[in-house]
Amino acid sequence: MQSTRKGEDPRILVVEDDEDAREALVALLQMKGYRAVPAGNGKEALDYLHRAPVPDLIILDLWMPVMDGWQFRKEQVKDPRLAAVPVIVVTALSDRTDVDANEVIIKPVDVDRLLTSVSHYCKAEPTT
Amino acid sequence: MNLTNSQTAQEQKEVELLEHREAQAMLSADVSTLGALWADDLIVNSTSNLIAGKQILLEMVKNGLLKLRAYERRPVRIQAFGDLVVTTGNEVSELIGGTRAYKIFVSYMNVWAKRAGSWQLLARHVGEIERATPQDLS
Repeated sequence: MQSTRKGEDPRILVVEDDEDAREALVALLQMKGYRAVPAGNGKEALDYLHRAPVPDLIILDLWMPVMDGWQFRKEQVKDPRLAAVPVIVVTALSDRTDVDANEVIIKPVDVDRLLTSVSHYCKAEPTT
Repeated sequence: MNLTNSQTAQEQKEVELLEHREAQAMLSADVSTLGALWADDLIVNSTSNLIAGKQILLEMVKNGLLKLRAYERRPVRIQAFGDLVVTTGNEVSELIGGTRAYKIFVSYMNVWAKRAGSWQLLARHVGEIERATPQDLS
């Protein structure tokens, strides 16, 4: 299901505890015309999702403090409003990809591959 | 390919100069010079754990995403392998992000390749050593 509002750039929630990686991903996606929003862990992400429009895509790290990516996914699918939002997991844990996600990308993240996947899940083209 | 000691020394010297030229071009966001010094098939693995190529990196420099106010590169070892030269060393940079400046100490490895008579940066890996507390610029 694509939830992009007509005339708006696709919205992407980036859930990553590493500040450097999170800011780089958000800046990269914004440069490519997406409306990227950062969250530092699963709880921050859920708090944001409960008060904001449903995003078109979630990019999710797994190993995070407070609430990890596995727990976030359990909470996400329990919520009918959020359950269908596609998720790309980005993780260094190549042997721990036992997470229910649309796609898993192993770190270090190949930017070309990530942008191809993002454009697949965000069918509406960004304006820039 | 066998190189004499003087050939190797010459190539090391050429690449050392390019190392400093490339660092200066990064500092001044000189996209034209970077475009010439970077191979079209450049691969960079950054401290953000992102692997990026030439076009996306040039786009980031053009858009101010890699805006530096200080950048110092200190090669520690330069070794020639025929038409490849590997440099390793450390760098200190101050990256501007929004209203904050981030001082970062990294180690790096660059691979330079000689193609059609010119040296170009072919690959680069950067690892964080230490990061200072961000400085508020506002």
